[in-house]
Amino acid sequence: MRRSIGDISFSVINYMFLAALGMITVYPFLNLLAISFNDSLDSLRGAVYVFPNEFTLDNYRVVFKSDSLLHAGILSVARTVLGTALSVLCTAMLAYTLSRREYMFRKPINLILIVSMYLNGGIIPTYLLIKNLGMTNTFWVYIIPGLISVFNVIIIRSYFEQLPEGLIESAKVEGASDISILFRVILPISLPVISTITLFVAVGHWSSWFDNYLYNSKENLSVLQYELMKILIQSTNQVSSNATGYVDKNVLAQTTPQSIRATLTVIVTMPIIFIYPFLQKYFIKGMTVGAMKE
Amino acid sequence: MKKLLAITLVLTLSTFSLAGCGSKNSETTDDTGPVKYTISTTDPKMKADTKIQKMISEKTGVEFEYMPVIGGADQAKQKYEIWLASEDYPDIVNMGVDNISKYRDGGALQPMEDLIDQYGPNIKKKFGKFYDLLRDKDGHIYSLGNVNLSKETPANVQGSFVVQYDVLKEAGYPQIKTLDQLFDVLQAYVTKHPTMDGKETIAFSGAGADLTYNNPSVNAAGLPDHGRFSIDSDNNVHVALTSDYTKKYYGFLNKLQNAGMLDKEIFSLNYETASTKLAQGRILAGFFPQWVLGGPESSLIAAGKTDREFAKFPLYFDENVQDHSNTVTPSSSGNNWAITKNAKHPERIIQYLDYLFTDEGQKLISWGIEGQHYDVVEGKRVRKEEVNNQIKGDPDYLINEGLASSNSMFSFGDGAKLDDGDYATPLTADAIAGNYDDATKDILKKYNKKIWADFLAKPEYIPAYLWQLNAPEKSTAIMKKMEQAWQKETPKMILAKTQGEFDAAWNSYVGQLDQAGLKNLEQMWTEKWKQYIEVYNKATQK
Amino acid sequence: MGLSLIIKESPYILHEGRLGDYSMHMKMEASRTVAREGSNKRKSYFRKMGRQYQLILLSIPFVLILILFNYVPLWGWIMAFQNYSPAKGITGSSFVGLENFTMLFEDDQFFRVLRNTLVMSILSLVTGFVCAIVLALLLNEVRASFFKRTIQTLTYIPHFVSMVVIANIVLTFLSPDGGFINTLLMNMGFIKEPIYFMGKGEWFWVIHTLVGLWKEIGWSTIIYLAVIAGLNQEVYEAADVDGANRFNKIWHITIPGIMPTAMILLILSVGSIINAGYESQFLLSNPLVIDYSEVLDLYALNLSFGSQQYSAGVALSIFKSIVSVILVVMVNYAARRTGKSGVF
Repeated sequence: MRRSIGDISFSVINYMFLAALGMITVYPFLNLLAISFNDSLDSLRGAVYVFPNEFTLDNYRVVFKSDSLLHAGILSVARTVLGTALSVLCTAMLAYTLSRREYMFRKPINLILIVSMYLNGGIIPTYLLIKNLGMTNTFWVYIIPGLISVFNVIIIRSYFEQLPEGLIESAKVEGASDISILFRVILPISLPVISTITLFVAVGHWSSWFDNYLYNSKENLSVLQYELMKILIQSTNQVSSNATGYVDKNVLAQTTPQSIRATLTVIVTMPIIFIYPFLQKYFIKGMTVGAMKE
Repeated sequence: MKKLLAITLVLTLSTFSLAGCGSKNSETTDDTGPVKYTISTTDPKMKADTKIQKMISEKTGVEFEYMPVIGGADQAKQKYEIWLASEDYPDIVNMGVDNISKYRDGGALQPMEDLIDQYGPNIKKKFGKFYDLLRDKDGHIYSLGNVNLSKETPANVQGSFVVQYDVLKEAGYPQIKTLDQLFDVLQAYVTKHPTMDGKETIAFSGAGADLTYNNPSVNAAGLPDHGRFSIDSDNNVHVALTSDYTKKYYGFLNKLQNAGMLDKEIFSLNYETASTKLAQGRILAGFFPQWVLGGPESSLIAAGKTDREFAKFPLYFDENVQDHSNTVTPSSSGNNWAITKNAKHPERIIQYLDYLFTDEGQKLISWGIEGQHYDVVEGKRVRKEEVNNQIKGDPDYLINEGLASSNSMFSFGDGAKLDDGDYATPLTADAIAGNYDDATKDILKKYNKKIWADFLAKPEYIPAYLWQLNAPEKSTAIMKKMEQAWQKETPKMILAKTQGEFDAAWNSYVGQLDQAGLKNLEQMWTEKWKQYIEVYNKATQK
Repeated sequence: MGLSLIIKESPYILHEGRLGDYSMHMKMEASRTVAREGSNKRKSYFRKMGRQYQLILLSIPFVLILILFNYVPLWGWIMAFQNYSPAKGITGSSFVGLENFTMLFEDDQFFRVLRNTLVMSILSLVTGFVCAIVLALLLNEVRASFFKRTIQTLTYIPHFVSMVVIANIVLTFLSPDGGFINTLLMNMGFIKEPIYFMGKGEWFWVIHTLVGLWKEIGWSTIIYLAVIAGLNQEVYEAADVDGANRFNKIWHITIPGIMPTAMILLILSVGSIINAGYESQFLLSNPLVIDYSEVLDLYALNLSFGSQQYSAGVALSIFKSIVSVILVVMVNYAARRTGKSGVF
């Protein structure tokens, strides 16, 4: 196709702008990456930008010294995989029913959902509820209470509503049930939104620690983020409290909270960055809905 | 809920009726059999199975499982509240007096006094005349902290006004006693060295509101650290924020500001950004306690800039200020242990604590195991050289060995002596001096001192710090309001261009604090303090 | 509604031929409804339930879970009318009527803090909304797949960097003591004296908004990219045949295509403008700008260390919930009135 000058100059400016934006937004992470591989005492002087000045693996050594990380890591993966799978599945099912205009309970359910987004009973009643359900000190407390995210339901619902009505109608004519319409017709052509929601939910599971802190005090139920949080707090404690009285300047600074925090951020974010492209391909490239219409 | 209530009831009953006798729970059958208690900790890496803990457990049969309470103050508070509301608290809670009183009001705690009478002879003996201070208004003892038996200044205490070694060197190692003397020395240095490594030299800086305005003004007036308060000789409590000495200190900061010597961004520096500047060696002086300075000084040493380390000593408004800031109190802890209703056989916990209050227990928790962590040389305990090296090389060493644990808070105090006449803890002047680098030793030699603590005034005995007492009801709300005005208004005085502007800002500020309920607050605290003094006098004059 | 309705406004729809199907379907649905009206209502109600049992099966269990975890704990709202103490519980704490609410509204700080919360939320909401869509559109115009994917990945990364780190980077960059921005401006001759950016109250809102944008723009773009990816490619192809240029296509196909989702996101976030959190404001704040930086949630936190701590916090939470629900209902109503689809 012939391209006009305006078109080309738009492209050039667009590429340049996006490249600049990419550099600006990636800076904080590059900075953390550099700090995590840099001598912590050198980092303290504030002259580390995107490359380490004095390369070292000490920060990682300090973090990985903790013996509970492997178990917590496995639990985190289990939680993320199981939690995400269940949550996305249930969210999609609920969203599907709400996208069906003829569904008789559509309005009341919508109302219940939306209003719930803005209500908060407080931390004590929630805790007592979860305790009375017998869910404290169980794995399920990570999965069940947050199973349905209303925000995600609404997003998926609105996507489903945009799909051509004819798809469902023709499936119905062929005698398909709602369940099989959802799984055979709707979900296969909804990969962009499903992968997006999968990303949101998975990141949420992967990075949460507060539920662990509140509800599960047994160490064998600790998730990675919680263990890492403990390491960070420990390194801050080492600086701020001399409760033991033995803190002197020679003891203090093998690592600094700043370097530990950078290292932890890198450790937590890396898996997300590596898994991301697999989800990304579903929503970055245009899908041909039409091709699947028939 | 009901089930839990029933269990608690049964446990409580069994505690009282079956103490010492056999119960169905095989774990807790006799006085020395193994028993495990859960205990809260704000130190998430605390280990319950260290060498030293095992040794103490062998003697007492008591083991622990830590329940971490982490996060900022609000997250910790949430956890305590949830525990209290759900009765899920651990057997032992280790927390501040304000939280302990909430637990007490909620009926979650078991009184200790009868158990101490029966099982805690050493606790009673060591607290001595201070024992009755542990009692609450209702006569019960709900929590236990340490007793401070030290009569001297702990060797690691140091002044928080800090000045770079090089500044002192260029000035010819003068005796600096007052803020004005400091000002002159700094001015001379900045004029000579306006920049450092291409960046501006900063004569004076700070980090965070407390370290910038509150603590230094109390310090420069030579007063004991009662937080945001001071107490006069008639035991009346005054708010420090509007005092004459605070005004004087703001005047000093204002003088620095108008001379262009105050850090340009002093109001927006946090501990991290301030640490960076300190580590660059660009800050010549300021008010920084060791926990801020530690990292930056290590960084300076690592970079070979030992002339940028900091001398630490007290400074005053003028030569006539009498220094009462170096104080000793009956107990140095802000946190205490309390036994909750969830604990079976609370007498076992008291027995455990009683062991910690013996000299044998003290040696274990502070010095460690003889032959492994320390030797006795010519009748004196000396920490092993390899232990010292380990501590330097591994920040977790103390925790992993058990030399830093929940037990540590029951130490008799650095500088205290055991019955054998030797120190209760390894933190002695010799040990501290041994850790200094050469530059530090040199500069101390110029001033004829061995350690930074030598610059401090003679220790004085005071009944308590105000912040060790329970805040009066409704006082925190007023304090919050006053702090808001304080944070907001203080910069106006420091940035004032003229004396008139300064005075106007000061008057408006004092007016705002008055309006927030300053008088009321002082009255509440005075009442509280006088009550305490009464108890203190009665207890100690027995 | 959705795509079909919007496409109706698009000139390229004529090649598509789907509109006919859709309007036919609507007519059929309408006639069915009319026919149903006559029969016994209750009977038809149960018959309908029977017919829709799969839909009920796919929704009711999850609605129950949601009610359990989101509505049941609302008994905690009783605490707002008490002087609650966790130790005494709901049954043991004394009732104080509306005292906790009046305490909130009587505080002269309250309305200043409320103003800051609303201004900063609205600024973040508007800029975040517009910029995320623009970025999605710009990314969508990139043909080189690798470049597109890389930039998209780079822009969302700051979402994972904690606010503490971001705040310190900002403070260092804007520092009047050799900060990057000041050095740059001075070297270029724009200013003679460094500017204390963080010390100016009026600037705080702007800085806070820009920082939020920087951190979250890539993350909030993802959802729009997904919606764009789901748009019907045939419509674009048809537009090409009609000789539409790039801007025509963006304006007439892409933007209308993402509008329903955008509207929904907008409505939902309007509901939470009062729920702005406090972390970023707190970390960027300092005593000089406190009049502009203090927000409701931080104020609540300060309150919670005060006397009637727990109850006052719950009272504030109720206030926020009520405001949120009112806002959402209003905006939703407005959206429906203007012909766009609402959330419910």
